[in-house]
Amino acid sequence: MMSVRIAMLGFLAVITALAMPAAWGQTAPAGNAHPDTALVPEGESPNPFGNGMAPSGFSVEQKIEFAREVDLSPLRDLAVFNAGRVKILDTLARETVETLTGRKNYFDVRQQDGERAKKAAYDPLFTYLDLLIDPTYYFDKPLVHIEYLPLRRAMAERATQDPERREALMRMTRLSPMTISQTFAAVAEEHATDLPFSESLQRVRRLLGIFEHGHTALLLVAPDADPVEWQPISALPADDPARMAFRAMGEAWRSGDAAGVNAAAAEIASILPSINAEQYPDTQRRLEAVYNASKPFEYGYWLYAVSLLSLVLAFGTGRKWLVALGLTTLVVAITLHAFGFAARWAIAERLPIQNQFESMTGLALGGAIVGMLLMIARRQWLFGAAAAGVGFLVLLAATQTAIPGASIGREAAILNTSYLLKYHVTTVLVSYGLITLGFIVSLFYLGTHYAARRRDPEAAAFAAEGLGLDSAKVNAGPQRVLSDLDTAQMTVLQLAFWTLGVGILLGAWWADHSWGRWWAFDPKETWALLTWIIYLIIIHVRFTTKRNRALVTAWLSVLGFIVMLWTYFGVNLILPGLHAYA
Amino acid sequence: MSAKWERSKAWDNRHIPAWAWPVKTLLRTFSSIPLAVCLLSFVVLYGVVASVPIGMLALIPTYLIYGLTFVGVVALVAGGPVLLIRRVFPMGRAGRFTITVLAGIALVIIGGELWRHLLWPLLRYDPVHETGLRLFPAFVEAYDATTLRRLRGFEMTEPQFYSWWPMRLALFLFVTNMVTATIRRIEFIFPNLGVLTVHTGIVVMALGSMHYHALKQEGDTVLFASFTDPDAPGPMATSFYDRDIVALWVNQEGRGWEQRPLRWLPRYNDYDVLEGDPALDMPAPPTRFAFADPDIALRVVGYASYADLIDGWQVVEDGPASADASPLMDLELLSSVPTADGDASQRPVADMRLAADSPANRIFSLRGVMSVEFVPDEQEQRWQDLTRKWDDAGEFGLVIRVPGEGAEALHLVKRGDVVEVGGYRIEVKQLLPTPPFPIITAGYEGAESSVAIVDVTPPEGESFERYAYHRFPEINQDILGTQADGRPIRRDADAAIGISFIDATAINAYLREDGAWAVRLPGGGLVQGRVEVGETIPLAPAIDLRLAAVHSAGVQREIPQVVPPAQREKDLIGNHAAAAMEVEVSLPSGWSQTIWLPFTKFMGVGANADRQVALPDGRTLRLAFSRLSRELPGIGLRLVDFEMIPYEHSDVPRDFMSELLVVDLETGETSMHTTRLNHPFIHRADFRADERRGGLANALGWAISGIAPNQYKFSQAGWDAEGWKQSKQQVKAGLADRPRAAFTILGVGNNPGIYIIAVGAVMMSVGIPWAFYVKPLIMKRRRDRLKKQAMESAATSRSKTNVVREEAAAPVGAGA
Repeated sequence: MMSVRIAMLGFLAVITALAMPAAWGQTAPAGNAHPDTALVPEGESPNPFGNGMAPSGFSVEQKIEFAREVDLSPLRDLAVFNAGRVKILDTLARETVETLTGRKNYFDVRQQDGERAKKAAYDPLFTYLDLLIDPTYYFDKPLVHIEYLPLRRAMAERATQDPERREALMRMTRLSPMTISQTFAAVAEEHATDLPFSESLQRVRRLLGIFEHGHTALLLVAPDADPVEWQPISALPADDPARMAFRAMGEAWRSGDAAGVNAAAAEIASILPSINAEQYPDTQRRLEAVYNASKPFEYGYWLYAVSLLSLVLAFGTGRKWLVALGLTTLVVAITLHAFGFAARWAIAERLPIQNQFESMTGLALGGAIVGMLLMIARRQWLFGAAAAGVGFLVLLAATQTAIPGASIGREAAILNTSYLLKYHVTTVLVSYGLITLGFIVSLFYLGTHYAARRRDPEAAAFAAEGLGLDSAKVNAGPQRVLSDLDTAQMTVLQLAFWTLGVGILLGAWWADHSWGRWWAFDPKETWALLTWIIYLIIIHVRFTTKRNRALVTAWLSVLGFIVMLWTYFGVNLILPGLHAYA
Repeated sequence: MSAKWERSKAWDNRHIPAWAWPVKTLLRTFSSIPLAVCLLSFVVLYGVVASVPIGMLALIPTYLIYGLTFVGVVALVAGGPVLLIRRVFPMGRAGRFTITVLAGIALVIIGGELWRHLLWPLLRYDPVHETGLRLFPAFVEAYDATTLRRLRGFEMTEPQFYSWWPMRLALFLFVTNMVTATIRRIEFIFPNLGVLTVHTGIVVMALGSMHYHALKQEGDTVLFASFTDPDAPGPMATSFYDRDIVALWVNQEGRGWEQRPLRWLPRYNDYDVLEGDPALDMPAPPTRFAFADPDIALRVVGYASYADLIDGWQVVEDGPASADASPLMDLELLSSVPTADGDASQRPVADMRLAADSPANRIFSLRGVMSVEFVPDEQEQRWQDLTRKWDDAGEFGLVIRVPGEGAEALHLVKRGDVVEVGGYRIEVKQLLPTPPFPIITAGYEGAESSVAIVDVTPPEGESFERYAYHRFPEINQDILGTQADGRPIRRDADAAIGISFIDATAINAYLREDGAWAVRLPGGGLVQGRVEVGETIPLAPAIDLRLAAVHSAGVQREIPQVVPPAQREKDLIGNHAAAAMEVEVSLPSGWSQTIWLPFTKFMGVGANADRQVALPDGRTLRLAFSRLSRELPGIGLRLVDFEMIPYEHSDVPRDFMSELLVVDLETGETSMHTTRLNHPFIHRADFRADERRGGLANALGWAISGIAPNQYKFSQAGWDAEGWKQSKQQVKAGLADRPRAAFTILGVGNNPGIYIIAVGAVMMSVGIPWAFYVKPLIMKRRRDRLKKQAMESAATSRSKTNVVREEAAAPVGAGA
């Protein structure tokens, strides 16, 4: 065993010492770029809902009430061509609202007499249509997300002299279109040579473009043949029922006639699928509607959280029902997670591991499944808890932070034309999942170790019981439990080490096949190799450490996890390279 | 500790005499695993500094402080209460555990939120207001995108940095360590088959990689579609451009281009571009294929990593004055106007280099606010006019001279005024900040000046219109009416009446080479003086002009204008794409001349790539800065067709396809191939025996070509996106039948020995699981078998013992 580890060191030597001059540069070849798929396409078309530039007749309360009364469900799964693919209107609405506001839902603040101010969140589809039909309502509302803090501060400082109001704007993170238009020119002039400012101002300009020209994204009319592009409603004859229904809906909306809106929505939903019906998707859009409604990754991390908490409590209490609850929720979580992954696969018409968000969902799924399989094979609940931990942490990070790629879209062409991609990326993601799994097992080890060190007699015994270890070992003292935990962490780390090594080699194969060079010292390649070396060190340090080698392994596993996080996120988001899409 | 390691140490003790203890120590050191761990740690650190900008590394302490404050707050909020709860509430151990976990989670969340709302706003760094906590902010900002290898003194690409001697030494030591430890520690037995496989794989990969390294070539080539017939193959390409190595291209009097490789040319920093830049002196000697005369020496003496070449004025220190030389003056505009944050220190806000003899370059102007002019020495009369004191306030002055009458007068005028001097009647028609039409007089192209348009009525003869320029009285013109076709009838200004126009609507500073200066303030006030180099001239409250330098001669030539870092495209950094280099051409006679060359990605494609140098003896050189060109392996490529394959209903690329006509340059045979993303065209250059070499050498070459064939891959690497887009518009307009691209770019790379590397990789991939999973199974079975044998042996021995005992216990003579 020892010797093979020594031998593995040679792998490093081969890659770094002997092949390095094989790589000559980092210029990204064609097909490596993410397709430029804007939410709002270039060009102009009339607003199908009619001109909505008249002052809005809605107060906040009226708007909230109106939103409750209208039934937009018939429109939710209408097909629309946007950003290079056919999606459903609900998806377009979600993407638009999130892009514009930086939140999943836009909300108004309602102040009632004698009560605290309350937030009233709107359905993204309602907000989306409201932006198209009644845009003046939003002129003075905090709508546009200003991500770059100095820009937000610069605009807020120009918008108001009141320090409290200014701080409120800063906290809100969003500014109204009116505030932006009043301050944009002055801020742009003052920071003309400041690159971060210029980039942020360009982004704000794009967001205002979505606000002002969002209706041009409504390519709702299916073409009569494949190569032909989808058309806006205005492409239909003036007396077409669909076109008239859109106009009627706009008028009813602006006048607050919910019944009229509902009737028009139902009519639109019945007409549009019948236009060039052979090109109009059916199963696909229903699946996408289910995918949107089920929120598999959001509910997934909650289920994983319940499972993790149950199993952790089971460790300490030894309650069998907690183990049962934890395992049941784990199975449900993995099932929902797998459904989300599969549904995304079907909707995107490609393996959904081609951007950061997708790879995170794939990584978490891989880690959770392997953890569950190890649990079954080893009959140790510990692996189940670790699997739940992987699912919870990764899905939480994927869904609750600004991880790019949450929207389903077209990805770089280079990714869609390779059969090797599936094996390379999948293997690497599984290895990352296993590293996370190993990290959590190592945390269990560290927790147990330090609890035992504090001479807490409960911890190790409970851990053994909750872990599903042989009950005979419970009374064998904490060292026996720690020994089992060490075996568990090594099981996972060895597997992670092997899969990461194979994944790197598969990537080298892909690079040689596609670009004619197998190693380019791209930052992602370098850091994947460094991550692998960390685990190589972990394995070797065990031979050099006479005492506490399991403890050293556990701490190095934590370090390895941190390095993997940098490889996975830091390199992608900060260091330029050929793997910008990963 | 393995038995073999024990035997190895025993062998050392037996065979290595005491006096050879260094050998023994070395052997033991290279057999040790801690050395491997140390070397691996070094490799990790090396990789970190190679890939992470040093400014980002400097952020680590800051983020550690952030993290510690977070942990501190969370520990403070969660730790104490949790311990208290555990002590206060009397409950069983299960209950205590549950309450610890649940209360711990809740309190950690509360602690985190407290940190986020109370501490984080104070810690978070705002680069604009420089508030919050950040250690080494200036360093972080200066080097936020600069890795160690990009600094001066390194100037390496990633592969170059990884193949630098410290890394090579570490890896050499590591491999030595690995081999030694393997031989001295590992038993060569069946369960170790995984290890042996992995080791063999490493050796195979090492050999393959060395072969690969020795013969690797990589670059790209551009193939054009036919310019005349869209359905015919385009022109043939027989070479490609190296991905990394650049060359100085030289062509003397049309003898053909030769390349002089520049393997260690800088790529990230500037040399000899701005004052303070370090110098560069890199010879560019001729190669075996030189065409230029050997007495012409070429050296690279400057490098601008990211710059635009613009026409500028360069000082001629000792060279002979040429006809196009001009005195130069360097000036700085200084401001001490308080900034938004109250900074009232004096700081440069603009610098300028003015050339007295170049009308377009002698003036620096912030139109409507201020201007600075370097007045040529020979314009003595004009200097007198410019420095003439005005008795009254005014915005425009006309100095009118009638030499025939001996009359001269200054008149402060405004539009519509009429003045009479020496019998001439002058009516001011227009006073314009710029002429109504551009100045097209030869030598004055691009020059700007305010102008007074006056009607002049002489004592006798026809009246005419006079255009009097503030800056250039020498090109004043008279308009005598219009021709039949409407064009004006022009003539040089009638010398019988001279009109100098002085514009005093803004601050106008005038300087001469001898240091004399005058500032005409708005309203006509005049301040005069004399300035030395390094001194300042007051222009306005808190605005000064500093004379930085005066040069007696300078010439106009292409010079690099450095692009500010904030405006640089990341894709163009480090690959010379936006670079320029300065080359010195010299002769044994001592003559030399330098010239800046812009980088050209594809030499021979497009215009304006090369620059010409005329030698004093009449010879001429054309020079260019481009990538090294290499020959394709015996084939030529012609583009037959290109297609971008989009996703349904969209313009989003799904794939790119180039259809190629491949021509064997030796036989003339042709074949059709396509290349798409992830599906390169692979050309395998067959082994051809060389009669000049021996049979054994040919046999060896044939054998090597069998396991490591000389194959080239041509992969889709770039395309004419803009041309494709335009032709799609033509299709929509009915002007074309389908979209087309004017060119395609193919990546070219050979991969000699890749099969050998692949075999090694497979062996490693198979060997690892054997070692991790198969070997423990084998060993467990062996242990079980041994245990079973031991038990059987024990049982047998017990039964034998029993028999003996029984026999011993039997009555004497019972068996008899």
